[in-house]
Order: sequence, then C-alpha cells, then structure tokens
Amino acid sequence: MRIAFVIHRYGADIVGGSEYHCRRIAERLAENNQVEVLTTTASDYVTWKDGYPPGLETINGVTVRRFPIKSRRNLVRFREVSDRCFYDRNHTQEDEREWVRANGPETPELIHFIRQNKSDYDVFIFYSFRYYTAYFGLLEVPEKAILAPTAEEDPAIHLTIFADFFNLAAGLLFLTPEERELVGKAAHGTLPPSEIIGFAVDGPTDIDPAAFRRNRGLRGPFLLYVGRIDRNKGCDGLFRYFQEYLKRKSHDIDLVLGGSAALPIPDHPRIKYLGFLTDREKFEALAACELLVMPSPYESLSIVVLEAWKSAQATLVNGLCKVLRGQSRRSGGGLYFDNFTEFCEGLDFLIENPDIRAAMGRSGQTWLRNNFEWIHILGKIEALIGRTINPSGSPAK
Amino acid sequence: MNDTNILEKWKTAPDVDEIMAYIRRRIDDRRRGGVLYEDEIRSEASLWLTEVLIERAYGESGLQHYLDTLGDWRMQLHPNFTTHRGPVGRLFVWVKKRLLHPPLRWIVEQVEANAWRQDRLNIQLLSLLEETAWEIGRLKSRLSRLEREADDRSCERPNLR
Repeated sequence: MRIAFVIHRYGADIVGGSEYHCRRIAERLAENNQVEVLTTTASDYVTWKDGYPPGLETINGVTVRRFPIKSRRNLVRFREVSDRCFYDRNHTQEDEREWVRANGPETPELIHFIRQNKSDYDVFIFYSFRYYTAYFGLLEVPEKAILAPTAEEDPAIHLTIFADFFNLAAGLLFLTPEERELVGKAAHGTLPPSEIIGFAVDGPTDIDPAAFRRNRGLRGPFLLYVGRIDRNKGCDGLFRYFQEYLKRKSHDIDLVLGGSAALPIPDHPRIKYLGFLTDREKFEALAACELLVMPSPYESLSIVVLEAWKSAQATLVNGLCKVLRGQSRRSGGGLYFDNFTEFCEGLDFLIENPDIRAAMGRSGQTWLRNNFEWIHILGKIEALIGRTINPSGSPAK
Repeated sequence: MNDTNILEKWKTAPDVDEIMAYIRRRIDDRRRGGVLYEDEIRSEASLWLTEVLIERAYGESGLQHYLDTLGDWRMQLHPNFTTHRGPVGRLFVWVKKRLLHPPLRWIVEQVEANAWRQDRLNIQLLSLLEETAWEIGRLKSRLSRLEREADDRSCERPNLR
C-alpha cells in the first residue's frame, strides 16, 4: 500500500507529541508498506522557523518530502484573528479559515502537490486538525483521507468549520476514548468509522537506575516529572503544591525535574532540576523514582505516563485532564487529584503504601501490554484503511 | 471490610475508583473531625486565588508568550549559516559570514556578560512577580476572612442609631 502521512513538522529531533506519534507510526508502517511523509521545512512550533531544507530526504527508512513555508507565524496577526474567532460571536467561517491560515504552517506548495499527485497514493493520513497542512490538505482528498485529529479540550475544536470537517474524512484515528468523545461532540452528525489506537512505548532494555542515581547525586526517594517545564503543563501549580505539601508533611522526598525549562524553577533544596534527559536517562529516572507526577491539565495522550507504566511505575496525574483521569482509571496504573488536598492525600497514600504503589505500576504495565503493543496499533490502522478506503481510492463506505 | 483488609486486597488488585473513594472518605473524615480543616480550606482558597491572579497577570501582559519562547532569546556566537537557494544564496551566506558576522560577534562578545546578567535578572524578576502574586493571594484570602469575622461581630452588636 502507498501511504502518505501529512504533518506540520517532522524530524528525528522533533519532540512534540503528535510529531513523535506520527514518526513512530510511519516508521513502523514503512516496514510493510510504501510510506512517504509530506511535511514542511519548519522546526519551531511557535514561529514555524525553517530548520530543514525543502526537498527529499530519508529518516529512519522513511522518505520525507519537505515543502517551503510561505511565511512564518505572525503572532500579532494570529492573536488578532484568534480574538475575533474565539470572542466575537459575529465572526464568519471565512474568519475561521483565516485562523487556520494564521495558525500555519502555510505551505501552499504542499497542498498543490497533494492536488497534483493524489493518484500516486492509496491513502493519506493527516495529523492534527488545527494546522493548515491537515485542514487544507484533507479538503483536497477527503475520499482517501484518514484524520488523526490529536484533539484537546481547547477553544479551537469548537470553531464551526471543524464541525463538518471531521465528517469529511473517510476514517478517523483517535489516541484515547476521551478524544473520540470530544470530537464526536464537536462534529455535526455521526462520525465516520474510527479506531482508538493509543501509542506503543519502546524503551531501552539495558538501563542502570543505580548508576543514574549516582551520576546525578540523587540519594533519597523522589517524585519525577519529565517533559517541558511550562505553565501550560501545570508545572507552576506542581511547584506550589509540592512546596505546600512539604510544609505540612514529614516525608523525606524530593521532586526531580527533567526536560527543557520555560519557567523559573523554585530555589528549594528539595526541588532538583536535571536539565534535558536522553531517552535512556529518562527510562533510568523512571526506574529509579518512587512515582511519576503529571500535573498537566491539557493532554491528548501523555506518552511519558505510558512510559512510566512501561517501567511498572505508578503515577499521580491531574484529574482535571479527562484523558489522564480516564487512562488512570482504565489501567489501574495510578491516582489522580482534582485539588491541593487530594494531591497531598494521594501522594501520602502512594508513599505510605509501597506494595499498593508497586501493584499499580504492574497494573499499568499489564494494561499497556494488553492494549498498546505495535501489533495491536498497526492492525487497527490497517483494518480502518481496509474498511474505509478501497484500492481504487474511493471510500469503501 | 475494614481498612486493613481493603489495603491487603489492593496489594494484588488495585482498583483506582475504590482507592480514590477511600482517599476522599479520609479527607471528609478529617474535615468532619475538624483536623486541619481550617488550614486546608485556607490553603485551597489561597492557592486558587493565586492561580487566578497569576492567570490574569500572564494573560494581560502576554508574559506567557515570552516565557514560551525563552530559548529563542539566547545569543548564538557561532550560528550555522546554510542555504538551499543556489549561487545567490551562497553569495548571501558569504556576505553574512565574512562581512556582517565578525563585527556583530565582536559586539556580542563585548555585551555578553551584561546580557547574561540581564538574563538572570529577568528570571529573578519573574520569580519575584510570581511570589508577589502568591502573597497577594494569601493576603486576599486573609482579608476576606477578617472581613467576614468583622461582619459577624457587627451583627452581634445592638444598632446604636
């Protein structure tokens, strides 16, 4: 089968959630299919600044075709259009399409390429509904399109142009049941056929958590947070909660942070910042910690939470995020908190009951193994393509 | 089933819904018993107020955008100039590399120490701003409690008019 993935950014060094998800799926599907990625030259997700030359290259066995960006994201214009679309009830659908253009990355050559060459591919898999590449690309080939919306609870999903857009695709790929519910509510009518695929975690096997502790000077037990240290990820709240928690509890525990920091980290003896962690270091940190804490209120799929379960570690997540809450309940892999008191009580419970904590970690690991191995994910994608798109390219509905 | 039995059961078959219900029961029991009740409510109120205040401060000032793009502000002394535009692009790269970059780098090197100090100062100022919002949250929650107490006391007094 000839499959084209269409995504706003792509590269081995790009760490964004949907971009990483797309790359891993493309690489796996390329083992048995002819896979090509149609993407842009952007590397920066805020400004769409160029990071790659246009043209063809091969990344981990996958052909990548890059198209130049017409212009970088103009943040002032984007803010103006956003204000109009999200706060002015009298805005039009053209305003909303303008929002998609302003959101970018605006790559008319990519859209032109899809229009001219659609017969060369059996199926197009579009990532992230909010971006120019997915929205305008899918409009060119709805009959051959599978859309992975990677939708989150945010105002963009309620724009009226997307209500019909979700129904245009031949099929939909969701990361979680919560995402399917969210898109189902936003769309007009019944959704096209869909599958919930989640994500399979590949971790290194030769890790040495004790050496990691030694090298990083970590002596006592610690909670771990890995990811972008950012307000959008709820890290400022985590800092406040953890410092307040320490004032009232006598537990000997540190908070260890790994990832790039876009937020000042409190100068506190029990908060330790390790900087960026390599994949191997991340799994060593996960194996060495007591539990992973994920304070983010907006997640469409938290890969690091899945990685914690892969490492048989329990998690404590923000229950205000429906996805994290749902995943914790389905897997049995961790607890959630809706407020500061529950954060304290949940943390106490997990620290004071190491056997239950370990059982939760194992439960998460088993859930992951039973539902999110590559064989399950690829099988679901191929089944959806088979159900929705026939070899001639017209929908099999 | 008593607490010990429940905990034993969860050692082999943890059930998140049951554990969360158990945790919430423990919180309610402590609140009903008056243990830490006032303290926790104050903390909740204070944390909530702080979040609202910080949200407002960030939203109105556009600070979030600057924090999100902090990495872009770092000055690079040895940027990598490349082109994919053929001979014209190569000419531009040569002009940038040989003519524009050396004097600019000299200037950057002269001001680098000050830029670093400014960078640290910015981070400290942002921490201070956050700390201030945090303190305002505390004071606001304390003020509203004192106002409520004052109202209660005034209701107890006879009307002198």
